[in-house]
Amino acid sequence: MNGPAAHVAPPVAPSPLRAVVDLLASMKLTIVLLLAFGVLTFAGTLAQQHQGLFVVQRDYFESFWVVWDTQMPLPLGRDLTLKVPLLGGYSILLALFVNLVVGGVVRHRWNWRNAGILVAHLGIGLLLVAGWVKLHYSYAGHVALYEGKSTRTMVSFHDFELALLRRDGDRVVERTVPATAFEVAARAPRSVTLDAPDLPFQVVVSGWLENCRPQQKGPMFATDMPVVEDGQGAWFLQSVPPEKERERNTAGCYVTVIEKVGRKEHKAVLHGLDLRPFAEERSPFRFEVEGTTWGLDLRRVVWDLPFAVRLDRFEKSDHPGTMMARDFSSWVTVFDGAAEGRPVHIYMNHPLRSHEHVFFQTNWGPQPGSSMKGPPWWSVFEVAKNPSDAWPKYASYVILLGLLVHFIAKLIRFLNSSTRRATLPEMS
Amino acid sequence: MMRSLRPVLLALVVVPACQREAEWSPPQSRSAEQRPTNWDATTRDRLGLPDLRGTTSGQAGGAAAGLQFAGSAPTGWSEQPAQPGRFRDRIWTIGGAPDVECYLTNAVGGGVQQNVARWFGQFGIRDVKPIEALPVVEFAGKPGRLLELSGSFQGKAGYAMLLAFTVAGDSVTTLKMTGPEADVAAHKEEFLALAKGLRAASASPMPEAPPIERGQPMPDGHPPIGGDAKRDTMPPPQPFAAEVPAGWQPVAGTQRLLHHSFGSGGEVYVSQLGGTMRAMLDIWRGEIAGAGQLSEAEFAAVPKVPMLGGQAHLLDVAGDYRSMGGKQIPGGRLLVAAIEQDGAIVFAKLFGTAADVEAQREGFLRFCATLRRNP
Repeated sequence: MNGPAAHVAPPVAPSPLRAVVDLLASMKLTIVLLLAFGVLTFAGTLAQQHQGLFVVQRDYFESFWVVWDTQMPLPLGRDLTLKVPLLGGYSILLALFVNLVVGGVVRHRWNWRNAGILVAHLGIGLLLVAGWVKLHYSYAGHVALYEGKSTRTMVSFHDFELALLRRDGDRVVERTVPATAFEVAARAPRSVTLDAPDLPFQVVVSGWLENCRPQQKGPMFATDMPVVEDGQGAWFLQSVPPEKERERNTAGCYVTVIEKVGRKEHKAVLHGLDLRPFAEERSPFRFEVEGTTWGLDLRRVVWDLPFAVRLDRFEKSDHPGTMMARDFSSWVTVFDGAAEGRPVHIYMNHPLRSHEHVFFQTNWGPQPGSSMKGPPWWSVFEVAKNPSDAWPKYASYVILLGLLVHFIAKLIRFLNSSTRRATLPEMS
Repeated sequence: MMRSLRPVLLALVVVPACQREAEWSPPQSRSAEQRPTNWDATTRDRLGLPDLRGTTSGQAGGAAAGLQFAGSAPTGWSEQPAQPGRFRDRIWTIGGAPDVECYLTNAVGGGVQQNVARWFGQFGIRDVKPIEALPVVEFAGKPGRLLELSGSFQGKAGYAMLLAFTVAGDSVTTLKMTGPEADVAAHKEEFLALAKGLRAASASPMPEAPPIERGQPMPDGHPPIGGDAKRDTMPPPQPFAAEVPAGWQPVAGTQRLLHHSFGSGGEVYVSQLGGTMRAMLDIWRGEIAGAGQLSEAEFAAVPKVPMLGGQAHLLDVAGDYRSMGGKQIPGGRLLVAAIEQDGAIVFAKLFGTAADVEAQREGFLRFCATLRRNP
């Protein structure tokens, strides 16, 4: 009666590597990550009520983690609100990518039945890689031009840089430091010292202000800010609360140039005001060391374009009876080697693409309500250089191909099985 | 499993925390077309600041507006180049006294009370004497006051200061001499002689025109002028316009903008100054006895009203009023609407008895809301 004794093998603990692979390949992890991303999107959307788009994108979606201030008051005391730590978009998408690769590609069986799924997973992976490349290797700024004017540079909407300029005849030899190096480290009372072995001086940056305006110090009022006297007057930076729209902020700082021989000091206030399209010319703080003319300029980050672009004509039409623009577009000429240039019409959804740069029509001026009136008009283009610009398109094709292969394979299998079931009774 | 994950977790924590030190990028040569550069800009141009001195109605700087001071230096004194950017319109040095500084500052704003307090503060003295207690001296052909202080001046012990000043509205013109006590005492008579000998003169390149005689025919198209009008009391060009409430009477011969009077001794006018909003609000509050300075929270809570296309701070303080020019209104009230525009603080100021101000409050707010710049 008694059957053979059942031999139950004792449970074998999986190896640590196997456990990690199982975790990373888990569908549960996929669900958790997608839910986390949903929560992050919700929190980021609400945060835009109080912070600008740029700050939210940086703090919520390009970060490893973020503390979401829900603005819900806590009954513990005044001004205390509920704050929730969340995984940032960078962490979630990185984990999702690993989950996708391990679960969707490595652990899947590589056979014809799964071919469509594998291709679709590769497409999604390519989409995520495109996002990563864009985050780390792309940049975007703008070009603003009056009709008839041309430029070879674009400037950042948000970011500043400190440029050290050396006068070299008609040319300028420049070195730069991104202002991200100062945003925390050079806030009063701290300072950042910049040095290079081939420079006859050091530059000390201090009193960094994200948004400020310069003021002349008169004898009739006091200020807590450092005041710099330069023989032409006394100057200081007045802090201004940062704007929600970050591109409206103008940064400023104090600089002290200390000569390595003799320790002579040159002090100045720098302010990153950009006057484009009215003036592209910059006026740096000038100082002389050992017979050479140097300059320091706090400016929005400048990128050189591999071609020149000239705005030939700008046109806009308004909605009837209003001053609200219905449509606006620009005719430009691109000079990229050919003597006569290449005419291009830029309008909604029809950007200029040239040398990996994309020019989108984004704005114009003077806007109604401002103190100036057009014509003449100026046109503003958002310019982006993104090596992965076209990758999402290719990723979409790959995903489409994968899903088509998968569904067609499914359909064929279904039809085969249906035909078999239909023919079997007849045979019997 | 946790043990195997440790390196991964450590890397996740450490990698983002690593931050490179700030350093210059490698040098790169750019053409003038790529980097158009003005190497010779003044600091004011470089910072995009307007020249506030002389742009307003005598509030800040008659020098640039065309008012200069003539007068020769005492023997042994030599004149140095002016530094108007440092509010030093004439500068003298004294032979044999290298540490003595003497300079004339023409028409700075801020009012006499604030400036006197500032001068005492430069010697670390908190107990500020009333202006009426200062001796009267002749300064640039007008009665002025003389302030004498000694002690530690801006960290330098054994220093003294002689300062003669006159007041016109909110602006103060000064002749100031600082230096070691012995040097200042030795040159006091020369200083007083210089103060007495200075005279305000027009900087206009046009020759002096003869005064307008009563009944003198005016050129064709010349606007009518009042019977007592003189050339130096003609109203300045009005950079602003606004809807003036009924009952406000224009003030003749004023250098202020849109200057009107109302009720019993009430006045309202528009002007602009440099400085910061917070400091200016405190200066205006200083005209009301006991008002004191604003705290951070009070400053943040100052209400806003529409003015010049933006939102202006509205200061509303009641109490015994004493203007920077010395005008006193017991039981007064002060309204100031101030907005920062183009690097300056533009403000409309109304003061009078509390009852008059209450009656004019709505009209004042309409006045501010309709205030605009003339093209």
